Amino acid sequence: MIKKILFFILFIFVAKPIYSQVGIGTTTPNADLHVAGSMIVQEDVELGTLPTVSNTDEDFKLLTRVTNSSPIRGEITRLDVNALTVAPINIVKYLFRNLDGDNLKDVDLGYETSKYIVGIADFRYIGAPVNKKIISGNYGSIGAFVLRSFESGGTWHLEIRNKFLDPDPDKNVRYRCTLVIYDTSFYRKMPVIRTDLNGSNQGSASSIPNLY
Amino acid sequence: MRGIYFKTFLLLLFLNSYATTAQEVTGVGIGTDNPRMKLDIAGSGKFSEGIKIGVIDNLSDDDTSTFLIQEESDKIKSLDVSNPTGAALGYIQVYEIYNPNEDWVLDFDTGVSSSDFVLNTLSASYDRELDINYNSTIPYYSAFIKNNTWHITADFPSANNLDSSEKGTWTVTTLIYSKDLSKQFGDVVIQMNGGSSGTANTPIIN
Repeated sequence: MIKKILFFILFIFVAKPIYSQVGIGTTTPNADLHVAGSMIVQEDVELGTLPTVSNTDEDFKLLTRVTNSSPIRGEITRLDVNALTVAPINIVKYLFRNLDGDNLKDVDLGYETSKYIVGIADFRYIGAPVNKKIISGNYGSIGAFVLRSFESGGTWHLEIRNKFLDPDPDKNVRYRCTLVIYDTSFYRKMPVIRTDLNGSNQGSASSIPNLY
Repeated sequence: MRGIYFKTFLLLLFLNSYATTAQEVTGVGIGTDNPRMKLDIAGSGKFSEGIKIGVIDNLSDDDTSTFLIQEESDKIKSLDVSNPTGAALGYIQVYEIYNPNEDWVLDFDTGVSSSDFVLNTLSASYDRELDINYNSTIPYYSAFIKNNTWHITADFPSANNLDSSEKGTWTVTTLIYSKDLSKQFGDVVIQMNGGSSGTANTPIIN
């Protein structure tokens, strides 16, 4: 009798997990573990087989982890850029018109430097050229054309102009460009690497960014 | 003696049935007495095969988030960009190249590996007044691969510093991203046959 009971106990606790699937919140599990509800894993998650997205897969979404979810940080969500006002990469087209000559010295773009990195692409110069400053014969200054985004007072600013020369006073210039706004949740601005080439046109960077 | 075994049996049977009925009311805790969801594992989880998630919410504007990746040990990890040594989707790296040969940077080695990363120049500017003789010129700045690292070249061809004793600075903004997120196709050379319009074959096969 005792042996039978012990065998029965063993059967309940040992045989069950080995020979059947486990359902939590369901009596008809259709995988080895089927949770009919939400699940929290407080520490690491390891997946043995994670198939890769193939050439023919379409409409797949990147997975994201929310760092301010409740009751526990780390809810797994998916990135649908249409559901967001700010995506990892944001493309904004700008037109600057009615300038003072070609001088766009400082425009506050308003993007906070703590949240975004502003890159410039697709630049177009439309309108009158700047006048070369003749020194002798055909020899003269062409100034220096500057196109840059820079940080000032916690926001991103833009400078587009020839720093030294201007077009004729009655002529005007327009600028078109695309600003690529990177969200700092996904992209990082590295510290500036400054290198002195000592008058040579070749050399190596003073440091290599640590990207690993 | 027999009574003790029988009581033990009843107790174990009760515990076993309690575990299967209680979950329907609250949830199952593994390593915790207070499951906050249907299954709450106070520890790690390992799935030898696949995992499928039925309901997965879209990220909303109020959420702060990071991307998930699987690394070589099969662990799921997050890209924590706020961690200064953690990985990011991409990096914006500004290079200030001071005192080149007047305005000419022929070959500046960033040391960034071309087998692991892609480096593109986004924008660049030079800060000194330039002069030129008969020619006209356009500035260029470009990244190229040499000896397995990314190099930068920048110049106003034919132009030089107006004051050749001035030391200038090229400020080059680059975008660096991992080869895990991008695919680099080979060089495409288009023979224009002396014409000004033509057709290129895309290297991307749909």
